[in-house]
Amino acid sequence: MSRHATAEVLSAFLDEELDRPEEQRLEDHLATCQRCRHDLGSLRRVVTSVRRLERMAPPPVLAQNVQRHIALSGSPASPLEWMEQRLGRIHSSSSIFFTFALVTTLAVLLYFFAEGVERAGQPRTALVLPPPPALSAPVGEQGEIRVVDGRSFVLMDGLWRQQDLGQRFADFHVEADSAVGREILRRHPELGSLGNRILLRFEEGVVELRGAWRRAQLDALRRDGAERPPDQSE
Amino acid sequence: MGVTTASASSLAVSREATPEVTPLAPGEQTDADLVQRFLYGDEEAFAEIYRRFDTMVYNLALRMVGNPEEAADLTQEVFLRVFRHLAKFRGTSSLKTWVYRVALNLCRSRRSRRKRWLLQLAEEAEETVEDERRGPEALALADDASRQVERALRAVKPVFREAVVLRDLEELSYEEIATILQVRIGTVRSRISRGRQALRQLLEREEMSEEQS
Repeated sequence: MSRHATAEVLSAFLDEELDRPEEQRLEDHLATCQRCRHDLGSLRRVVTSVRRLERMAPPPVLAQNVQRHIALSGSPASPLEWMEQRLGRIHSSSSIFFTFALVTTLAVLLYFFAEGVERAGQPRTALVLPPPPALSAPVGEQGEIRVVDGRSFVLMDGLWRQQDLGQRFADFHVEADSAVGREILRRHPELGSLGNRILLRFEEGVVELRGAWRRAQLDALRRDGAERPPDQSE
Repeated sequence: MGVTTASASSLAVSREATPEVTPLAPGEQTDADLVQRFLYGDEEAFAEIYRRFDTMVYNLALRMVGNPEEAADLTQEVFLRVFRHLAKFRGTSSLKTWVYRVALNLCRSRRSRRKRWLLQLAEEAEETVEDERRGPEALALADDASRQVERALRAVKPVFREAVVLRDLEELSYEEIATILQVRIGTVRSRISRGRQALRQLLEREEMSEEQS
C-alpha cells in the first residue's frame, strides 16, 4: 500500500466491499498509521450520523390519492391488453404492428391537440408578481373555493391555491426568513417584506412566484370588509 | 383464433393455464407472484406493492428533493408509473430495484425541470427539511446534529447524494445500487466515497464555524 489509504478504500472497507487481499493490506497498514485510523474514524462517524437520520412515513393521504388517480385514469396493465379490449382478438403480428402504430400515432396527435387547446386559454408568464395587498388580499374562509377564469382556487393558510393541477405541478414553499426566501426577496424586491411564506410552483421550467400576506394583515382586511377575488395576474 | 405475438403468447399461456396456487401471506409473496396477480387484474396485488415500497420511495424522494410536499407528489407519480408500466417488468432485477429505478429517474427529471437559479438557491441555502406534520415542539426538540446532517446531505451533489442515500439510508448492497444506477460497481464505490467525503467536509466546516461563533 502507498503511504496512506485513499478515501475510497477506507469507504469500501467500512462497507466490507474490499476483496480479502486488499482488506488484509489495509488492516496491516491501519495497525501502524495513526492518520489513516483517524480518517477511518471520521468516516465511520459520518456514516453513522447519516444512518441515524429519521425515516419518515409518507402522508397517509398519499395512498388514497394514488388509488383515486388510478381509478380516474383507468390505465390498463399493458398496451396489448388495452388493444385487446378495444380492438378484439389480434390475428397476426403484422396487423398488431400496424394497429399499434396507428393507435399510437392517433393518441400522440390527440394529446398535442388537447395540450394546444388547453394552453391557448392559459397565458403563462415566467414570473407572476402579486399586486399590492390592498387590491388583491385573499380574504375569505379557510377552504373557500372561488372560480377565476375557469380555474378553481381554494384558500388555504392565507394563500389561494389552484386546484386540479394534476401531476405536472409541484408547489414548493419557502419561508420568507430562510436563506432561500431572503435571496428570492433580494432578487425580487417588488414582493416586499409582506409575506411570511413564498409559494413557488414548478411547471415544466416555468416558475411562478406568489407572495403571501401576514395573517395579521389578512385579519385586518377581513375586519374592514374587503372582498377581492384571488390573484388574477397569473 | 388466438393471440400470436411473443409477449401476447406468454400472456395467453399464463391465462389458459390454471396454476396451482399455494396461499401465502402477503409479505411472503415473491415479486413474480405479485406481478402475475397484478396482471390477472388483482387490485390487492398493487396495494401490496404499494405497502411494500411506499416508505422506501418517499424517503428516497425526500432526501433527493429535500421537500416533504414535493416528495409526496413524486411518490404519487412513481406509483402511478409503476401501475402503468408493471407489465414491462421482466424479473431480470428484483421488483425493489425496479421501483427504485423508476423513483430515481423521476427525481432526476423533476430536478432537471427546475430553473437553474432556483436549484442553486435551494442547494446553497442553509434550510432544514421542515416536515409540516411535526408540530413546532417536536421540531424544536429535534436533534440539532440530525438537522446539520440533513442540511449537509442536501448540499452534496445529487450524483453522489444518490449513492450515499441508497447505501447508508436504504442499506442496499453495491450490486443493487449498481443495478439501480445502471453503472459498474467500481463507479458505485467511487460515488459513495465521494459523497461521504463531501459530507465529512461539510460537517467539519459547520463544526468549525460553530466553535468560532
